[in-house]
Amino acid sequence: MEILHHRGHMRFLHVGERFMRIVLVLFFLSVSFLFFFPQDVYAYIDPGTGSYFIQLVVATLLGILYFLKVNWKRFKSYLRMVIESKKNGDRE
Amino acid sequence: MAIESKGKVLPSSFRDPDGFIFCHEGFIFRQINHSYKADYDYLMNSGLYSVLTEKGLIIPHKEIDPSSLNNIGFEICVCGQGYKILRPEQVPFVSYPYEWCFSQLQDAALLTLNILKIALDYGMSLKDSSAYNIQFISGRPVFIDTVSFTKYREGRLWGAYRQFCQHFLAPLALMAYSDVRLNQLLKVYIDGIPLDMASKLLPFSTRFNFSLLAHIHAHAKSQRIFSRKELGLKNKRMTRLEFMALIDNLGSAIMNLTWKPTGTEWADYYNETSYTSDAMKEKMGIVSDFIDKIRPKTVWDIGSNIGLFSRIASNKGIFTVSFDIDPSAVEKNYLQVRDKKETKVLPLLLDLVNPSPGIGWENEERMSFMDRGKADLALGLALVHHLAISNNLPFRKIAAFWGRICDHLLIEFVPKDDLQVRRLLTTREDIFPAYTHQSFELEFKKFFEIIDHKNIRESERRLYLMRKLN
Repeated sequence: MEILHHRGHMRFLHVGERFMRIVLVLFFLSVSFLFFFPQDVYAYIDPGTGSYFIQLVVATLLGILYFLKVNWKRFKSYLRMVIESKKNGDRE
Repeated sequence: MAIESKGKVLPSSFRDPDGFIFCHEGFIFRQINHSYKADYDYLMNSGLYSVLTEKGLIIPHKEIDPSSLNNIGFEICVCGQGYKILRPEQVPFVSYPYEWCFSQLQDAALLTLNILKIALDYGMSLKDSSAYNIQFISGRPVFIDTVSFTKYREGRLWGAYRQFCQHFLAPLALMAYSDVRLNQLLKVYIDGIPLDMASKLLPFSTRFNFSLLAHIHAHAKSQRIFSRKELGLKNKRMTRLEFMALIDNLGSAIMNLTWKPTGTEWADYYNETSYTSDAMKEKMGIVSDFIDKIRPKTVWDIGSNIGLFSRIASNKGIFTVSFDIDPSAVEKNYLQVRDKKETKVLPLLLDLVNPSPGIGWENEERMSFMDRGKADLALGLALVHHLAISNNLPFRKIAAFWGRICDHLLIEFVPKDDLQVRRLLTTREDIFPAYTHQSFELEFKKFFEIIDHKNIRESERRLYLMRKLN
Protein backbone atom coordinates (compact mmCIF):
# COMPACT_ATOMS: atom_id res chain seq x y z
CA MET A 1 0.00 0.00 0.00
CA GLU A 2 1.20 3.44 -0.88
CA ILE A 3 0.89 4.86 2.58
CA LEU A 4 2.89 1.98 3.95
CA HIS A 5 5.70 2.74 1.56
CA HIS A 6 5.73 6.23 2.92
CA ARG A 7 5.72 5.13 6.52
CA GLY A 8 9.48 4.78 6.37
CA HIS A 9 9.86 8.45 5.59
CA MET A 10 7.92 9.39 8.67
CA ARG A 11 10.56 7.99 11.02
CA PHE A 12 11.65 10.72 13.29
CA LEU A 13 14.40 10.44 15.81
CA HIS A 14 17.10 7.81 15.44
CA VAL A 15 18.72 6.04 18.33
CA GLY A 16 21.55 8.52 18.46
CA GLU A 17 19.09 11.35 18.84
CA ARG A 18 17.27 9.95 21.85
CA PHE A 19 19.28 12.23 24.05
CA MET A 20 17.77 15.24 22.28
CA ARG A 21 14.32 13.77 22.72
CA ILE A 22 14.81 13.44 26.47
CA VAL A 23 16.09 17.00 26.63
CA LEU A 24 13.06 18.14 24.69
CA VAL A 25 10.58 16.35 26.94
CA LEU A 26 12.25 17.69 30.08
CA PHE A 27 12.27 21.21 28.66
CA PHE A 28 8.67 20.96 27.66
CA LEU A 29 7.66 19.53 31.01
CA SER A 30 9.45 22.31 32.85
CA VAL A 31 7.85 25.12 30.87
CA SER A 32 4.44 23.55 30.66
CA PHE A 33 3.75 22.41 34.21
CA LEU A 34 0.75 24.69 34.12
CA PHE A 35 -0.52 22.82 31.12
CA PHE A 36 -1.12 19.63 33.03
CA PHE A 37 -4.69 20.31 34.05
CA PRO A 38 -6.57 22.04 31.29
CA GLN A 39 -9.97 23.46 32.05
CA ASP A 40 -13.02 23.19 29.85
CA VAL A 41 -13.08 24.89 26.46
CA TYR A 42 -16.63 25.41 25.28
CA ALA A 43 -17.55 25.29 21.66
CA TYR A 44 -18.70 28.87 21.23
CA ILE A 45 -15.13 30.06 21.61
CA ASP A 46 -12.95 29.90 18.56
CA PRO A 47 -9.80 28.18 19.75
CA GLY A 48 -7.78 29.26 16.72
CA THR A 49 -5.43 31.59 18.57
CA GLY A 50 -4.37 28.96 21.09
CA SER A 51 -3.78 26.43 18.33
CA TYR A 52 -1.68 28.90 16.38
CA PHE A 53 0.35 29.78 19.45
CA ILE A 54 1.17 26.19 20.35
CA GLN A 55 1.89 25.44 16.73
CA LEU A 56 4.48 28.21 16.66
CA VAL A 57 6.14 27.03 19.86
CA VAL A 58 6.14 23.36 18.93
CA ALA A 59 7.21 23.95 15.34
CA THR A 60 10.12 26.10 16.49
CA LEU A 61 11.36 23.39 18.85
CA LEU A 62 10.78 20.64 16.31
CA GLY A 63 12.42 22.75 13.61
CA ILE A 64 15.66 22.82 15.59
CA LEU A 65 15.53 19.06 16.07
CA TYR A 66 14.60 18.47 12.46
CA PHE A 67 17.52 20.60 11.36
CA LEU A 68 19.81 18.55 13.59
CA LYS A 69 18.30 15.32 12.28
CA VAL A 70 18.79 16.30 8.66
CA ASN A 71 22.29 17.55 9.36
CA TRP A 72 23.15 15.09 12.14
CA LYS A 73 26.39 13.82 10.65
CA ARG A 74 27.58 17.32 9.87
CA PHE A 75 26.60 18.43 13.38
CA LYS A 76 28.50 15.54 14.98
CA SER A 77 31.66 16.22 13.00
CA TYR A 78 31.34 19.91 13.83
CA LEU A 79 31.04 19.10 17.53
CA ARG A 80 34.02 16.77 17.33
CA MET A 81 36.01 19.47 15.59
CA VAL A 82 35.11 22.04 18.24
CA ILE A 83 35.94 19.66 21.11
CA GLU A 84 39.22 18.57 19.56
CA SER A 85 40.30 22.10 18.80
CA LYS A 86 39.46 23.05 22.36
CA LYS A 87 41.53 20.12 23.68
CA ASN A 88 44.41 21.10 21.45
CA GLY A 89 44.04 24.68 22.64
CA ASP A 90 44.15 23.55 26.29
CA ARG A 91 47.32 21.54 25.68
CA GLU A 92 48.99 24.47 24.12
CA MET B 1 -18.53 30.16 -19.26
CA ALA B 2 -19.69 30.50 -15.67
CA ILE B 3 -21.93 27.74 -14.52
CA GLU B 4 -23.85 26.55 -11.54
CA SER B 5 -25.56 23.24 -11.30
CA LYS B 6 -29.15 22.99 -10.26
CA GLY B 7 -28.65 19.38 -9.25
CA LYS B 8 -29.23 18.48 -5.63
CA VAL B 9 -26.42 19.99 -3.56
CA LEU B 10 -25.37 17.53 -0.86
CA PRO B 11 -26.15 18.77 2.66
CA SER B 12 -22.55 18.08 3.72
CA SER B 13 -21.19 20.53 1.16
CA PHE B 14 -21.56 24.05 2.47
CA ARG B 15 -18.50 24.96 4.51
CA ASP B 16 -16.06 25.63 1.71
CA PRO B 17 -16.94 28.61 -0.50
CA ASP B 18 -14.59 27.30 -3.20
CA GLY B 19 -16.99 24.65 -4.45
CA PHE B 20 -19.64 22.09 -3.61
CA ILE B 21 -20.78 18.57 -4.31
CA PHE B 22 -24.06 17.80 -6.01
CA CYS B 23 -25.89 14.70 -7.03
CA HIS B 24 -27.52 14.27 -10.42
CA GLU B 25 -29.22 11.14 -11.67
CA GLY B 26 -27.45 9.07 -9.04
CA PHE B 27 -23.97 10.39 -9.80
CA ILE B 28 -21.84 12.70 -7.70
CA PHE B 29 -20.32 15.83 -9.27
CA ARG B 30 -18.20 18.63 -7.88
CA GLN B 31 -18.45 22.26 -8.87
CA ILE B 32 -15.31 24.37 -8.63
CA ASN B 33 -16.09 28.02 -8.02
CA HIS B 34 -14.22 30.95 -9.57
CA SER B 35 -12.81 31.78 -6.13
CA TYR B 36 -10.77 28.54 -6.41
CA LYS B 37 -9.71 29.04 -10.05
CA ALA B 38 -6.07 29.95 -9.33
CA ASP B 39 -5.55 27.09 -6.87
CA TYR B 40 -7.35 24.55 -9.07
CA ASP B 41 -5.34 25.49 -12.15
CA TYR B 42 -2.14 25.30 -10.13
CA LEU B 43 -3.10 21.87 -8.75
CA MET B 44 -3.77 20.56 -12.24
CA ASN B 45 -0.85 22.21 -14.04
CA SER B 46 1.91 21.85 -11.42
CA GLY B 47 1.98 18.07 -11.79
CA LEU B 48 0.71 17.54 -8.24
CA TYR B 49 -2.67 16.16 -9.32
CA SER B 50 -0.99 13.69 -11.69
CA VAL B 51 1.44 12.48 -9.05
CA LEU B 52 -1.24 12.04 -6.41
CA THR B 53 -3.66 10.23 -8.72
CA GLU B 54 -0.92 7.99 -10.12
CA LYS B 55 -0.08 6.96 -6.57
CA GLY B 56 -3.79 6.40 -5.89
CA LEU B 57 -3.74 8.91 -3.03
CA ILE B 58 -6.48 11.25 -4.25
CA ILE B 59 -9.63 10.60 -6.18
CA PRO B 60 -9.30 11.05 -9.94
CA HIS B 61 -11.84 13.16 -11.80
CA LYS B 62 -12.84 14.19 -15.29
CA GLU B 63 -13.71 17.74 -16.16
CA ILE B 64 -17.14 17.93 -17.71
CA ASP B 65 -17.40 20.35 -20.60
CA PRO B 66 -20.13 22.79 -19.50
CA SER B 67 -21.46 23.17 -23.02
CA SER B 68 -22.03 19.42 -23.27
CA LEU B 69 -23.91 19.19 -19.99
CA ASN B 70 -27.18 20.52 -21.39
CA ASN B 71 -27.05 17.97 -24.16
CA ILE B 72 -26.89 15.11 -21.73
CA GLY B 73 -29.72 16.46 -19.70
CA PHE B 74 -28.12 18.42 -16.85
CA GLU B 75 -29.95 21.47 -15.70
CA ILE B 76 -27.36 24.17 -15.46
CA CYS B 77 -27.65 27.90 -15.44
CA VAL B 78 -25.23 30.70 -16.04
CA CYS B 79 -24.17 32.19 -12.75
CA GLY B 80 -21.25 34.16 -11.40
CA GLN B 81 -19.78 31.37 -9.26
CA GLY B 82 -19.03 28.32 -11.32
CA TYR B 83 -15.66 27.69 -12.97
CA LYS B 84 -15.56 23.94 -13.63
CA ILE B 85 -17.68 20.90 -13.06
CA LEU B 86 -15.85 17.70 -12.22
CA ARG B 87 -17.06 14.16 -12.27
CA PRO B 88 -14.94 12.31 -9.70
CA GLU B 89 -14.61 8.55 -9.54
CA GLN B 90 -17.68 7.40 -7.63
CA VAL B 91 -17.31 6.18 -4.05
CA PRO B 92 -19.03 2.78 -3.80
CA PHE B 93 -20.08 3.21 -0.18
CA VAL B 94 -19.71 6.38 1.89
CA SER B 95 -18.35 5.74 5.38
CA TYR B 96 -17.42 7.99 8.27
CA PRO B 97 -14.56 8.06 10.80
CA TYR B 98 -16.75 6.76 13.63
CA GLU B 99 -17.36 3.66 11.52
CA TRP B 100 -13.66 2.94 11.01
CA CYS B 101 -11.48 0.68 13.09
CA PHE B 102 -8.21 1.86 14.64
CA SER B 103 -6.01 1.05 11.63
CA GLN B 104 -8.44 2.60 9.17
CA LEU B 105 -8.35 5.91 11.06
CA GLN B 106 -4.58 5.64 11.43
CA ASP B 107 -4.11 5.01 7.70
CA ALA B 108 -6.43 7.93 6.91
CA ALA B 109 -4.30 10.19 9.15
CA LEU B 110 -1.04 9.04 7.54
CA LEU B 111 -2.54 9.53 4.09
CA THR B 112 -3.42 13.12 4.97
CA LEU B 113 0.13 13.85 6.14
CA ASN B 114 1.65 12.03 3.20
CA ILE B 115 -0.39 14.11 0.75
CA LEU B 116 0.58 17.28 2.62
CA LYS B 117 4.28 16.40 2.33
CA ILE B 118 4.02 15.73 -1.39
CA ALA B 119 1.92 18.87 -1.89
CA LEU B 120 4.62 20.97 -0.22
CA ASP B 121 7.16 19.71 -2.76
CA TYR B 122 4.91 21.13 -5.47
CA GLY B 123 4.30 24.41 -3.66
CA MET B 124 0.89 23.58 -2.26
CA SER B 125 -0.56 22.87 1.17
CA LEU B 126 -3.84 21.59 2.62
CA LYS B 127 -6.25 24.21 3.91
CA ASP B 128 -8.15 21.64 5.97
CA SER B 129 -7.47 18.20 7.37
CA SER B 130 -10.89 16.79 8.08
CA ALA B 131 -11.22 13.03 8.46
CA TYR B 132 -14.33 13.37 6.28
CA ASN B 133 -12.00 14.20 3.38
CA ILE B 134 -11.12 10.51 3.28
CA GLN B 135 -13.11 7.60 1.91
CA PHE B 136 -12.15 3.96 1.54
CA ILE B 137 -12.08 2.85 -2.09
CA SER B 138 -10.78 -0.52 -3.28
CA GLY B 139 -9.51 -1.41 0.16
CA ARG B 140 -7.48 1.73 0.81
CA PRO B 141 -8.02 5.28 2.01
CA VAL B 142 -8.33 7.90 -0.71
CA PHE B 143 -8.44 11.69 -0.31
CA ILE B 144 -11.63 12.94 -1.97
CA ASP B 145 -11.66 16.70 -1.39
CA THR B 146 -10.13 18.22 -4.52
CA VAL B 147 -10.64 21.79 -3.27
CA SER B 148 -8.57 21.26 -0.10
CA PHE B 149 -5.34 22.16 -1.90
CA THR B 150 -4.11 25.70 -1.67
CA LYS B 151 -0.92 27.44 -2.76
CA TYR B 152 1.70 27.33 -0.02
CA ARG B 153 2.93 30.71 1.08
CA GLU B 154 6.34 30.56 2.69
CA GLY B 155 6.18 31.37 6.37
CA ARG B 156 2.47 30.78 6.87
CA LEU B 157 1.25 28.78 9.83
CA TRP B 158 -0.76 25.66 9.01
CA GLY B 159 -4.43 26.55 9.44
CA ALA B 160 -5.49 22.90 9.60
CA TYR B 161 -3.26 21.95 12.54
CA ARG B 162 -6.04 22.12 15.14
CA GLN B 163 -8.36 20.12 12.91
CA PHE B 164 -5.75 17.43 12.35
CA CYS B 165 -5.25 17.04 16.10
CA GLN B 166 -9.00 16.86 16.73
CA HIS B 167 -9.92 14.59 13.83
CA PHE B 168 -7.01 12.18 13.93
CA LEU B 169 -4.46 12.44 16.72
CA ALA B 170 -6.88 12.81 19.65
CA PRO B 171 -9.22 9.93 18.69
CA LEU B 172 -6.31 7.63 17.84
CA ALA B 173 -4.53 8.45 21.11
CA LEU B 174 -7.75 7.80 23.04
CA MET B 175 -8.28 4.52 21.21
CA ALA B 176 -4.69 3.44 21.85
CA TYR B 177 -4.31 4.58 25.47
CA SER B 178 -7.81 4.73 26.97
CA ASP B 179 -10.46 2.69 25.20
CA VAL B 180 -10.83 1.73 21.56
CA ARG B 181 -14.55 2.56 21.68
CA LEU B 182 -13.82 6.23 22.31
CA ASN B 183 -13.75 6.79 18.54
CA GLN B 184 -17.53 6.93 18.99
CA LEU B 185 -17.03 10.45 20.38
CA LEU B 186 -16.57 11.49 16.75
CA LYS B 187 -20.29 10.85 16.34
CA VAL B 188 -21.00 13.50 18.96
CA TYR B 189 -18.32 16.00 17.94
CA ILE B 190 -18.50 16.46 14.20
CA ASP B 191 -15.36 18.63 14.08
CA GLY B 192 -13.26 16.15 15.98
CA ILE B 193 -12.77 15.42 19.65
CA PRO B 194 -12.25 18.63 21.69
CA LEU B 195 -8.65 18.60 22.85
CA ASP B 196 -9.43 19.58 26.43
CA MET B 197 -11.67 16.51 26.63
CA ALA B 198 -9.03 14.28 25.06
CA SER B 199 -6.48 15.68 27.51
CA LYS B 200 -8.72 14.81 30.46
CA LEU B 201 -9.52 11.31 29.22
CA LEU B 202 -5.97 10.29 28.35
CA PRO B 203 -3.90 8.64 31.10
CA PHE B 204 -1.42 10.84 32.95
CA SER B 205 1.49 8.88 31.51
CA THR B 206 0.77 10.29 28.04
CA ARG B 207 2.13 13.63 29.32
CA PHE B 208 5.58 12.03 29.18
CA ASN B 209 5.20 11.35 25.47
CA PHE B 210 6.51 14.50 23.79
CA SER B 211 4.14 14.44 20.81
CA LEU B 212 1.02 13.87 22.90
CA LEU B 213 2.18 16.41 25.48
CA ALA B 214 2.69 19.02 22.79
CA HIS B 215 -0.15 18.34 20.33
CA ILE B 216 -2.87 17.42 22.81
CA HIS B 217 -2.18 18.41 26.43
CA ALA B 218 -0.27 21.66 25.87
CA HIS B 219 -2.43 22.40 22.83
CA ALA B 220 -5.59 22.14 24.96
CA LYS B 221 -4.08 24.36 27.62
CA SER B 222 -3.01 26.89 25.03
CA GLN B 223 -6.53 26.95 23.58
CA ARG B 224 -7.90 27.77 27.01
CA ILE B 225 -5.35 30.44 27.81
CA PHE B 226 -5.66 32.25 24.50
CA SER B 227 -9.34 31.67 23.84
CA ARG B 228 -10.31 35.28 24.43
CA LYS B 229 -7.07 36.98 23.53
CA GLU B 230 -5.74 38.47 20.34
CA LEU B 231 -2.06 37.83 19.98
CA GLY B 232 -1.44 39.28 16.55
CA LEU B 233 -0.13 35.94 15.33
CA LYS B 234 -0.89 36.81 11.73
CA ASN B 235 2.57 38.26 11.34
CA LYS B 236 4.28 35.27 12.94
CA ARG B 237 6.13 33.01 10.59
CA MET B 238 6.75 29.30 10.47
CA THR B 239 9.56 28.39 8.11
CA ARG B 240 9.22 25.56 5.62
CA LEU B 241 11.70 23.55 7.69
CA GLU B 242 9.57 24.04 10.80
CA PHE B 243 6.46 23.05 8.83
CA MET B 244 8.23 19.88 7.63
CA ALA B 245 9.32 19.18 11.21
CA LEU B 246 5.73 19.55 12.42
CA ILE B 247 4.41 17.15 9.77
CA ASP B 248 7.21 14.72 10.53
CA ASN B 249 6.46 14.77 14.24
CA LEU B 250 2.72 14.39 13.73
CA GLY B 251 3.47 11.44 11.46
CA SER B 252 5.66 9.70 14.00
CA ALA B 253 3.12 10.46 16.74
CA ILE B 254 0.38 8.77 14.70
CA MET B 255 2.55 5.80 13.79
CA ASN B 256 3.73 5.23 17.33
CA LEU B 257 0.14 4.72 18.47
CA THR B 258 -0.76 1.04 18.47
CA TRP B 259 -3.76 -1.02 19.37
CA LYS B 260 -4.00 -4.79 19.22
CA PRO B 261 -7.33 -6.57 18.80
CA THR B 262 -7.41 -9.24 21.50
CA GLY B 263 -9.75 -10.89 23.96
CA THR B 264 -13.03 -9.61 22.65
CA GLU B 265 -16.53 -10.78 22.03
CA TRP B 266 -16.11 -12.22 18.56
CA ALA B 267 -12.38 -12.40 17.97
CA ASP B 268 -12.33 -16.14 18.70
CA TYR B 269 -15.89 -16.79 17.60
CA TYR B 270 -15.08 -19.28 14.88
CA ASN B 271 -13.15 -21.39 17.36
CA GLU B 272 -16.21 -21.91 19.52
CA THR B 273 -19.25 -21.84 17.29
CA SER B 274 -22.12 -24.27 17.12
CA TYR B 275 -20.73 -25.61 13.89
CA THR B 276 -18.63 -28.64 13.25
CA SER B 277 -16.12 -28.11 10.47
CA ASP B 278 -18.31 -30.13 8.08
CA ALA B 279 -21.37 -28.06 8.93
CA MET B 280 -19.36 -24.88 8.44
CA LYS B 281 -18.20 -26.07 5.03
CA GLU B 282 -21.76 -26.91 4.12
CA LYS B 283 -22.98 -23.50 5.27
CA MET B 284 -20.31 -21.79 3.17
CA GLY B 285 -21.35 -23.86 0.16
CA ILE B 286 -25.02 -22.91 0.59
CA VAL B 287 -24.15 -19.22 0.98
CA SER B 288 -22.03 -19.39 -2.17
CA ASP B 289 -24.84 -21.10 -4.14
CA PHE B 290 -27.42 -18.60 -2.95
CA ILE B 291 -25.16 -15.67 -3.95
CA ASP B 292 -24.74 -17.24 -7.40
CA LYS B 293 -28.52 -17.46 -7.75
CA ILE B 294 -28.93 -13.72 -7.18
CA ARG B 295 -25.73 -12.44 -8.84
CA PRO B 296 -25.79 -9.19 -6.87
CA LYS B 297 -23.62 -6.16 -7.63
CA THR B 298 -23.43 -5.17 -3.98
CA VAL B 299 -23.54 -7.24 -0.81
CA TRP B 300 -23.87 -5.97 2.75
CA ASP B 301 -22.78 -8.60 5.25
CA ILE B 302 -24.26 -7.46 8.55
CA GLY B 303 -22.75 -9.02 11.64
CA SER B 304 -19.85 -10.22 9.54
CA ASN B 305 -17.38 -10.89 12.35
CA ILE B 306 -13.94 -10.96 10.65
CA GLY B 307 -15.53 -11.30 7.20
CA LEU B 308 -15.39 -15.02 6.48
CA PHE B 309 -18.70 -15.01 4.59
CA SER B 310 -18.10 -11.53 3.15
CA ARG B 311 -15.20 -13.05 1.26
CA ILE B 312 -17.39 -15.64 -0.39
CA ALA B 313 -19.07 -12.68 -2.11
CA SER B 314 -15.97 -10.51 -2.60
CA ASN B 315 -14.00 -13.42 -4.08
CA LYS B 316 -16.67 -13.53 -6.79
CA GLY B 317 -15.79 -9.90 -7.60
CA ILE B 318 -18.80 -8.48 -5.78
CA PHE B 319 -18.32 -5.26 -3.79
CA THR B 320 -19.07 -6.24 -0.19
CA VAL B 321 -19.48 -4.03 2.86
CA SER B 322 -18.62 -6.08 5.92
CA PHE B 323 -20.26 -4.64 9.05
CA ASP B 324 -19.68 -5.69 12.64
CA ILE B 325 -20.20 -4.21 16.09
CA ASP B 326 -16.90 -5.50 17.46
CA PRO B 327 -13.88 -3.18 16.98
CA SER B 328 -11.52 -6.17 17.17
CA ALA B 329 -13.34 -8.08 14.45
CA VAL B 330 -13.39 -5.02 12.17
CA GLU B 331 -9.70 -4.39 12.87
CA LYS B 332 -8.79 -7.99 11.96
CA ASN B 333 -10.98 -7.77 8.88
CA TYR B 334 -9.32 -4.53 7.73
CA LEU B 335 -5.81 -5.82 8.40
CA GLN B 336 -6.59 -8.76 6.13
CA VAL B 337 -7.88 -6.38 3.45
CA ARG B 338 -4.67 -4.36 3.76
CA ASP B 339 -2.26 -7.27 3.93
CA LYS B 340 -3.81 -9.17 1.02
CA LYS B 341 -4.54 -6.00 -0.96
CA GLU B 342 -8.19 -6.96 -1.27
CA THR B 343 -10.18 -4.43 -3.25
CA LYS B 344 -13.74 -5.67 -2.90
CA VAL B 345 -14.26 -5.71 0.88
CA LEU B 346 -14.97 -2.67 3.04
CA PRO B 347 -14.98 -3.54 6.77
CA LEU B 348 -16.94 -1.09 8.92
CA LEU B 349 -18.10 -0.73 12.50
CA LEU B 350 -21.85 -0.83 12.96
CA ASP B 351 -24.05 -1.33 15.98
CA LEU B 352 -27.16 -2.60 14.25
CA VAL B 353 -29.46 -1.88 17.17
CA ASN B 354 -28.20 1.71 17.26
CA PRO B 355 -26.86 2.43 13.76
CA SER B 356 -25.08 5.65 12.76
CA PRO B 357 -27.57 8.53 12.87
CA GLY B 358 -27.68 11.56 10.58
CA ILE B 359 -25.44 14.14 12.25
CA GLY B 360 -24.41 17.76 11.77
CA TRP B 361 -26.50 20.67 10.56
CA GLU B 362 -30.18 19.73 10.31
CA ASN B 363 -29.08 16.13 10.96
CA GLU B 364 -28.08 15.98 7.31
CA GLU B 365 -24.36 16.66 7.03
CA ARG B 366 -23.43 13.02 7.55
CA MET B 367 -25.91 10.44 6.40
CA SER B 368 -27.53 7.96 8.70
CA PHE B 369 -26.90 4.30 8.01
CA MET B 370 -30.45 3.88 6.72
CA ASP B 371 -29.95 6.75 4.23
CA ARG B 372 -26.99 5.18 2.50
CA GLY B 373 -28.86 3.26 -0.14
CA LYS B 374 -29.69 -0.39 -0.47
CA ALA B 375 -27.77 -3.56 -1.12
CA ASP B 376 -28.68 -5.95 -3.92
CA LEU B 377 -28.19 -8.68 -1.36
CA ALA B 378 -27.87 -8.49 2.41
CA LEU B 379 -26.44 -11.29 4.53
CA GLY B 380 -27.76 -11.78 8.04
CA LEU B 381 -25.90 -14.86 9.24
CA ALA B 382 -26.03 -15.95 12.88
CA LEU B 383 -27.62 -12.64 13.74
CA VAL B 384 -31.36 -13.05 14.24
CA HIS B 385 -31.09 -14.55 17.72
CA HIS B 386 -29.02 -11.57 18.88
CA LEU B 387 -31.64 -9.15 17.60
CA ALA B 388 -34.68 -11.11 18.80
CA ILE B 389 -33.42 -12.44 22.13
CA SER B 390 -30.62 -10.11 23.27
CA ASN B 391 -32.49 -7.00 22.12
CA ASN B 392 -36.10 -8.11 22.44
CA LEU B 393 -36.85 -7.14 18.84
CA PRO B 394 -40.03 -8.76 17.49
CA PHE B 395 -39.67 -10.60 14.14
CA ARG B 396 -42.06 -8.03 12.64
CA LYS B 397 -39.56 -5.23 13.26
CA ILE B 398 -36.57 -7.29 12.19
CA ALA B 399 -38.25 -8.21 8.90
CA ALA B 400 -39.28 -4.59 8.26
CA PHE B 401 -35.66 -3.47 8.77
CA TRP B 402 -34.26 -5.90 6.20
CA GLY B 403 -37.04 -4.85 3.85
CA ARG B 404 -35.67 -1.30 3.92
CA ILE B 405 -32.01 -2.07 3.27
CA CYS B 406 -31.97 -4.74 0.56
CA ASP B 407 -33.65 -6.23 -2.48
CA HIS B 408 -32.59 -9.78 -1.62
CA LEU B 409 -31.86 -11.32 1.74
CA LEU B 410 -29.85 -14.34 2.78
CA ILE B 411 -30.71 -14.89 6.41
CA GLU B 412 -30.07 -17.61 8.95
CA PHE B 413 -32.58 -18.69 11.55
CA VAL B 414 -31.00 -20.00 14.73
CA PRO B 415 -33.53 -22.02 16.75
CA LYS B 416 -33.97 -22.00 20.50
CA ASP B 417 -32.26 -25.31 21.12
CA ASP B 418 -29.07 -24.11 19.44
CA LEU B 419 -26.08 -23.76 21.78
CA GLN B 420 -25.72 -20.03 21.09
CA VAL B 421 -29.38 -19.28 21.84
CA ARG B 422 -29.28 -21.42 24.98
CA ARG B 423 -26.31 -19.32 26.11
CA LEU B 424 -28.29 -16.13 25.58
CA LEU B 425 -31.13 -17.54 27.65
CA THR B 426 -29.07 -18.89 30.56
CA THR B 427 -29.21 -15.67 32.54
CA ARG B 428 -32.67 -14.48 31.67
CA GLU B 429 -36.24 -15.56 31.60
CA ASP B 430 -37.49 -17.04 28.33
CA ILE B 431 -40.12 -14.51 27.29
CA PHE B 432 -39.96 -15.52 23.66
CA PRO B 433 -42.67 -18.12 23.01
CA ALA B 434 -43.00 -16.82 19.43
CA TYR B 435 -39.35 -17.50 18.63
CA THR B 436 -40.03 -20.33 16.15
CA HIS B 437 -39.40 -21.12 12.48
CA GLN B 438 -43.09 -20.69 11.81
CA SER B 439 -43.53 -17.18 13.18
CA PHE B 440 -40.17 -16.15 11.68
CA GLU B 441 -41.37 -17.17 8.20
CA LEU B 442 -44.81 -15.66 8.76
CA GLU B 443 -43.41 -12.22 9.58
CA PHE B 444 -40.73 -12.22 6.88
CA LYS B 445 -43.30 -13.21 4.25
CA LYS B 446 -44.99 -9.84 4.82
CA PHE B 447 -41.93 -8.19 3.23
CA PHE B 448 -40.21 -10.95 1.27
CA GLU B 449 -40.90 -13.92 -0.93
CA ILE B 450 -38.95 -16.95 0.23
CA ILE B 451 -37.11 -18.22 -2.86
CA ASP B 452 -35.25 -21.05 -1.23
CA HIS B 453 -34.29 -22.45 2.14
CA LYS B 454 -31.87 -25.10 3.30
CA ASN B 455 -31.19 -26.77 6.63
CA ILE B 456 -27.63 -27.12 7.76
CA ARG B 457 -26.71 -30.65 8.74
CA GLU B 458 -25.51 -31.40 12.27
CA SER B 459 -27.21 -28.22 13.43
CA GLU B 460 -30.76 -27.02 13.78
CA ARG B 461 -30.08 -23.90 11.81
CA ARG B 462 -31.75 -22.95 8.54
CA LEU B 463 -30.67 -20.59 5.75
CA TYR B 464 -33.28 -18.66 3.77
CA LEU B 465 -32.95 -16.86 0.47
CA MET B 466 -35.60 -14.18 0.02
CA ARG B 467 -36.64 -11.59 -2.53
CA LYS B 468 -38.21 -8.28 -1.53
CA LEU B 469 -41.92 -7.99 -2.39
CA ASN B 470 -42.73 -5.06 -4.65
